[in-house]
Formats: sequence, structure tokens, C-alpha cells
Amino acid sequence: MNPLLVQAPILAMLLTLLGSFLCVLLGMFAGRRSVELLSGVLTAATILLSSLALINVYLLDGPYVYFMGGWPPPVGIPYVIDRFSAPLSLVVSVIFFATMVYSVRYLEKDRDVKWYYSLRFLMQTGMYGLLFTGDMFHIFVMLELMGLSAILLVPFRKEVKASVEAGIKYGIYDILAITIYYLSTAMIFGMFGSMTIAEISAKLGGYVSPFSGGIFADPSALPVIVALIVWSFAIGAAIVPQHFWLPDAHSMAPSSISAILSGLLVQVNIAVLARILFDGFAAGSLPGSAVGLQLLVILGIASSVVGAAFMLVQSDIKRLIAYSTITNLGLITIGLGVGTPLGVSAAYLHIINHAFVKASLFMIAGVFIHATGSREIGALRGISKALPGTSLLYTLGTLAAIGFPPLSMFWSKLLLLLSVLSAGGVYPYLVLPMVVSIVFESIAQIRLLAIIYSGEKRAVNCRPSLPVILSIGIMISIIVVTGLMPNLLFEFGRLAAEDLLNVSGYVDLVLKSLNYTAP
Amino acid sequence: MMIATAGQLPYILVAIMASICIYAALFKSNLFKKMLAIFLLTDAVNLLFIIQGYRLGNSIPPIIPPGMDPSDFASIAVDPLAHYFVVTAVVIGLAEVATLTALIIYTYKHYGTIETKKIKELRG
Repeated sequence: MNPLLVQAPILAMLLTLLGSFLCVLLGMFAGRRSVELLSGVLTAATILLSSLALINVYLLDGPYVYFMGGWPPPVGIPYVIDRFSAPLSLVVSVIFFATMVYSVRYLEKDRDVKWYYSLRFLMQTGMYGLLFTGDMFHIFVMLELMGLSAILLVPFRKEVKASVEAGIKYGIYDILAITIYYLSTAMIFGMFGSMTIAEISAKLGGYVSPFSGGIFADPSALPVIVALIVWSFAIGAAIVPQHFWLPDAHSMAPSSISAILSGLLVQVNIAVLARILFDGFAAGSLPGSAVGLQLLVILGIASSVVGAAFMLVQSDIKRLIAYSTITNLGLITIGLGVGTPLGVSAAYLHIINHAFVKASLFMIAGVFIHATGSREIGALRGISKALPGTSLLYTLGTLAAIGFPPLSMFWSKLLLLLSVLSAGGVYPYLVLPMVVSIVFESIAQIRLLAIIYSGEKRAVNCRPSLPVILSIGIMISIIVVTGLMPNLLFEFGRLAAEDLLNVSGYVDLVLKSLNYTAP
Repeated sequence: MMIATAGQLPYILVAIMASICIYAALFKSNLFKKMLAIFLLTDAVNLLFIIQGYRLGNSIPPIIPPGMDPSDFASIAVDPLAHYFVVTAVVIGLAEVATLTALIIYTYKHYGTIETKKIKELRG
């Protein structure tokens, strides 16, 4: 065990936390260039550290637990770095780096960028924390860290009327969701006397902890807790009928922030929910917590169809992409709700692929909006002749989004459909609404492409600069390359689902220091 | 008819408080009232933590007196873990108040009102 490799994910998190303070300090005494340089260097370092963690988990040590401050659970906070969380943390780092490069030129005309970079770093810290943590209360703290910085970044251009409205809408509902989660942690504390996810799981299996004993309350209260948790994360992940804040917030934020919100923030919520449901409440095996999975399937169908239907009537390019996020989140929740290894691995791959596709689409939409000075889809007529390179990148991104083979999202959509078909029971009938939503989404996206490629050459206000094109190019090339290597992709998904669904392995890993033996 | 015991009364208070707050946060149209409802909900949860950590009867503060047997102490001492959660949540609540208040002030500057029914720039 190399100490640097073991501590790499924690160091990435500390670097971002440090960066958030340094950005403000530096911004007060030096110019904006130094702030941009600092955040560029630090985000590049987080990519390096997350890759080290990924290599360590996959090739050297395997999944391991890091005890924050050296305190083992249930006293301290365990960070579980396994094959589910490590690849997602690399995705977070890469997208934060790409949007960092993008925002240097994108925010050229805005003032006070030190707050922007500082809040971005805080959001990144929250995401790492959420992905790795194995403690219910720590999830609450990290949700606040991620949520509050996102709420403040949505109305970053506070002189724009509509962005402040989107910000307050997002703020009220996100904080309400987090508070409902806080209510469920209080109930968990009363029932289990412990906040460690692994210990909750062990106690449900009959384990009696030397510190906090067994289960205190009647386990029939479990469905209430699970329903509260699913409700709070359904608001955070914008699953229908709690989706109304997402199109506003994601379309009115600066495009570099929309890319992060739509590509990462909602997916991190889903990943944490999966961790709690599968590892904490052993949702596949206990009837009390299977309620959560059934809820997820029903909500997922509603989301995928409603999101796709709304895509057909949008006239604002960023709103259209935001509704596409709702559709895809619906597909992801269906995959998780099915709960089979195939379904979970398909959902996991869809999280990763969707993150890259949606982030690049929002970044290109930002370029288009700067070039035309308008958010209307009609204003994009003829832009392909004025900005051929950007339009080509947009075409690739859109084709990936509608699942055109062999681009990356084709494989995850295929796996999702296969997982539903092979699940048994009533699940095979779910293919019908899923296909309907995929077809609706394709129609809306292809209509947008047709508008981009139609019409005469139009005049543009500004052309995208090299760093902007480069950052988008990185994302699109990742989409193309991962699409060409489906076997590698499937392997990642399979191993992640294996780690997530192996509840006894997870519990053994976290509680090893307590001399835990399964009862 | 079931009558609640003295130990259950605080829980019933929390349940009533939480229900009223969730209702108000979702259905009141004034942004400031929505905000207050969310923070009262946080307080209801804080109360839930505190009463779960409290021991009815002859309880003592969680500081071990000299010469006392640890297992005797553990059976009558108040649970300090619940207090830790509440203190953390109170600090986080401060950040929430600051964020939402700032956003409400900006909403008022732009729209001249904080009634959600009158703020209709974005739809659908």
C-alpha cells in the first residue's frame, strides 16, 4: 500500500477545498489571471490524483476504506474508494477541468470571477465527498456544500432578471430536499443509533454493535425512512414530478455551470441514492426497503416520458437540452430500480456517458448563444456555415445523445433496454415507454440539427477561441473513443455493479476494524 | 382510545411541526414564508435529535464523574452524539439563511415583489 496512492482521492478533495479559499484570497490581492491560473493548476492536479486512485483501485490494491482522521467507524467517517466511486470521481475531475478551461474565455466579460472559481471548487469538494462517503450524516453535510454553491452559481449573472428567479426557485426546492433528508437522518439515528451506512446494513441483518447495540425501533418504520430518502433525492435529481426547477436552473445558469449541473450534480445525487438504497438498506433483499426500488421505477418511467414530451415543444436551446437531462435521468432511475446486476451496470454506464454528452452539449450551446446573441432555436438557422467546426462537434454530441451507434450512449441505452427485457415480471412491458421517450428525444434533437444545417450563412457576433474549442474537443473525443471500445465500457459497468450490489463485501470492508463477523 | 405517554409527547410535537412546515414550504406563495418554513423544519428535526438523545428520569450530563463505572455512566448519561449533529446542522443552517436571504433580496430588487404567483418570467 503506497501512502500516496491510498490518500490520492482525499488529497484531491483537500486540494479543491484549499483552492476555494485561495481563489478568494488571491482574487483580492492579484488580478483575475492569477486566479484562473491557480484554479487551472489545481483542477489539473485533481485529474492526476483521481486517475491515481482509479489505477490503485483497479490494478493494485483493490477497493479499500480510508478512515478520516484515523478514526474507524462508527466513531469516524469512512471513505469507501471502490470500483463504483473511483471512476465517477475521475469523471467529476475531467468535467471540472474541461469547464475550467472553457470558462476562462467564456466569462471574459463578467466581473468578480474569484467568487465563481471559489464556489466551483466548493461544489467539486461536495461531489467527491458524496461519492466516497460511507456516513449518512456526512452525506447531509456534503449535500449542503454541493447544493449551496450550485444555488449561488445559478444566478451568477445577478443582473439578469430570469437567472435570479431560477436561482431562488432552485434554492428553495433544493434546500427543502436537503432538509427532508436531514429529517430522515434523524429517524435513522433513532432507529439504528448509528450513521454509518455499513453498520445500518449489518444491523438489518441482525448484527449487534459493541458501541450502539442493535435496532432500537420497530423495523416496520423502515419504509417511511426509505420513502423520505427517495423523495429528497428525487427533488435533488429532478425526477418527475419534482422536476420543475431543473429546466429553469439549468437553462439560466452560465453555460459552464449548466454543464456541471446537468452533467454531474444530478447524477451524483442518483449515485448517492443508489449507495444508500443498495448498500445501506439492502434494497434487493428486504421487503421494507424494496419500496424504494419500486418507487424509482415508477418515477423513472414518468420522468423519461414527460421529459421527452416537453423537449418537443421547446424554443430555447438550453431548455431543450435541460429537458433531455430529465429524460435520461428517468432512464437511469429505471435501470437502478430494476435492481439486477445488468440494470445497475447499465444505469452506471449511462451516468458516465450522459455526463460527458450533456456537459459538451451545454458548452457548445454556450458558444452558439454567444455567437448569435439569442437563445431561440430559430436564431441558429445557418450557423453551420458560419461556425462549421463547432457545428460538427455539436452534431457528434447530439448523435451520441440520441444513441446513434457506435457513439457511447448507444451502448448504455442498449444495455438499459436489455436489462429491462431480461428482468422478468411486469418489467419487460416497460420497454414500450422507454422506446417512446427515446424516439421523442431523437425527434426533438434531430429537428434542432436540421435547423442548424438549414438556411443561408448568417453573421455571428464572435467566434469561439481556441481554449473553448479545445475543451469541447476533449469531451467529444472522450465520447467517440469510449463508444469505440464497448468491451472496456461494459467491464467498468459490470465491476461497478458488482461492488455496489455486493452488500456483505461492502459491510466487511468498512467494519473490518471492529472485528465484524456476519451473524 | 390510545393516550400518548409523557415520553411520546415530544415526538408528536415534532410530527405536527414537520407536517405544518412541509405544507407551508410547498404551498405558501410568499418566498419569505417558504424560507421560514424550511428553517422551522430544520428546527423540528433538531428537536427530534435532542429528544432522542435525552434520557427521561435521573439523567446526567455526558461528563464522566470520577470513580463512576463506565457502563453505569452510559446507562444514565445524555447522548452527546445527538448534540454534535444538531450543532453541525445549526452552523449549516446559518449558511442556508444567508444564501436564501441574499437571493430573496435580489428577487425583490428585480421584481418588486416576493410573491411567487407574481414572478412569472420563466414558465414550463
